[in-house]
Amino acid sequence: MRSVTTIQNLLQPYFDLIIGTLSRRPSGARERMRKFRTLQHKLERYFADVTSFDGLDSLRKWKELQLKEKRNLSASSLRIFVQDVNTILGLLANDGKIQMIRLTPPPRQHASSEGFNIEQLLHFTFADVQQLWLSIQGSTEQELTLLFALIICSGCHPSHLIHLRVGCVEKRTITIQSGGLIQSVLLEPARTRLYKFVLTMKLTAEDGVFMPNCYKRFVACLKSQCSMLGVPNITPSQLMYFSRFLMVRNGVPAYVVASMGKRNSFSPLGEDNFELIKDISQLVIGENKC
Amino acid sequence: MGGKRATGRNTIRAVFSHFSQAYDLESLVMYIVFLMNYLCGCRVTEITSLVPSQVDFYLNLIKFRTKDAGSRKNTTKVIPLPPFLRSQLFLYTKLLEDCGHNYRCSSLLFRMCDGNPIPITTSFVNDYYHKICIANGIEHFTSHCVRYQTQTDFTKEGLSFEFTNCVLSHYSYRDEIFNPYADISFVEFEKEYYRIANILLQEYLA
Repeated sequence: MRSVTTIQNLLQPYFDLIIGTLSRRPSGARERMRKFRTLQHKLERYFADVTSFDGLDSLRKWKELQLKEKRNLSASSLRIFVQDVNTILGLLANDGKIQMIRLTPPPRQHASSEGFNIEQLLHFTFADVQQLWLSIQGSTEQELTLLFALIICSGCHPSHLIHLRVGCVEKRTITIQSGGLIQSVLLEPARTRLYKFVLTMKLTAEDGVFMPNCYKRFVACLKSQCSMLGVPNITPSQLMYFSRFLMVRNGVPAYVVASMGKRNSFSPLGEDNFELIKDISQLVIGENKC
Repeated sequence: MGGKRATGRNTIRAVFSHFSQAYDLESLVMYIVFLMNYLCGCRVTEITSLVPSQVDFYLNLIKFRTKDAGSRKNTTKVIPLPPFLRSQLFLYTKLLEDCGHNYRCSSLLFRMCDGNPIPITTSFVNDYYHKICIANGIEHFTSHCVRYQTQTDFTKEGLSFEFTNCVLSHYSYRDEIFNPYADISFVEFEKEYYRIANILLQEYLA
């Protein structure tokens, strides 16, 4: 067997192969490439004293690695981690460097309703969101109020929305360049609010609508408002899932809503679907009350 | 006999008539559990794991969640609230509030509060159904038999296959409405579901 000095030299060709394949994808697959690079660093640290492939040929060691990562990663991240480890193990086994070793990935936590995460919406109701909106509207900064309205009216994740530029706002849609093209709808009350905000702040087409630290401030604001009002804690992601939930509840097919606010995937809403959801935002952030 | 099977419409009618003559809080709780079991096609675990925030009176829907049970994966389903069930649930929550019980703070929506609160379990519900069977002289049935009857009745009244699976949250078909790979409109489902639920309730409550 070929004697190699470091674990880095042993694994580098396999990671190069995977990352090379991923980089040829049209979308770039940056997130997958980042995950594999992280995995490479983890493996190099964990097998630091290994100098030959014999040191990798131990199911016990790989299982210990899985157990170690279980403490640090969430269930869904651990699932991806184990699947990636299995990819590397498969490549090593195909080359005859080690025996065929397979780790068992943990089962999906949220197997159902992919992209909608109904599981995260079980602890609060429509009335809670409406109460939260009334409170945020009355007490906090205009920027955070606008972000709340945009989440509800576009179904986009706030971490994407903060990259929104004035020039990318259209009549019914918004376009965001953030690690890929993200497009979504823009429903009425938020659109008017957005225009007013742009005029008040005297922003130009190249300017970003939100400040860079806006997301952190928004998270803190939601948390404090929720505890003050006595409503269950609602995170910005849950707010986005709620907005998408409302769209589906009003009759838009799930596959249409699922592609909104997603990187490099957008199916424009037909006129019928737009009519179905145009009142959703009025329900939450309009003047109506429960 | 042995195997599970649908209860039959006569049994369901007898259960409705039994509950129409009972006026205590325990009967109200079990009536709502039965209505959910029959109209929403729920497993008892789905009903008993309900927390108050899963019932959205404003949007008129219930978000059901089943925790891991054996090899079964977690499931969620969203079912519209038929007006009759909504009124009963609303009455129940108002009664709890009137009794000084802050139902929103409690972990579970349904509990038997006779002295110490007793969480309702599948065997508790099945025992209760058994008592109804003995009192009314009808054939023994379980909560799962009621689910079979839901499937039978809804299909007979014309609910299509994909909508019936949305109601029953069958393993392979769960969450079709919120599945990006399927083309099912919640509004159409809601419309059909209300229509059939009304037909069935009119028959049983007449």
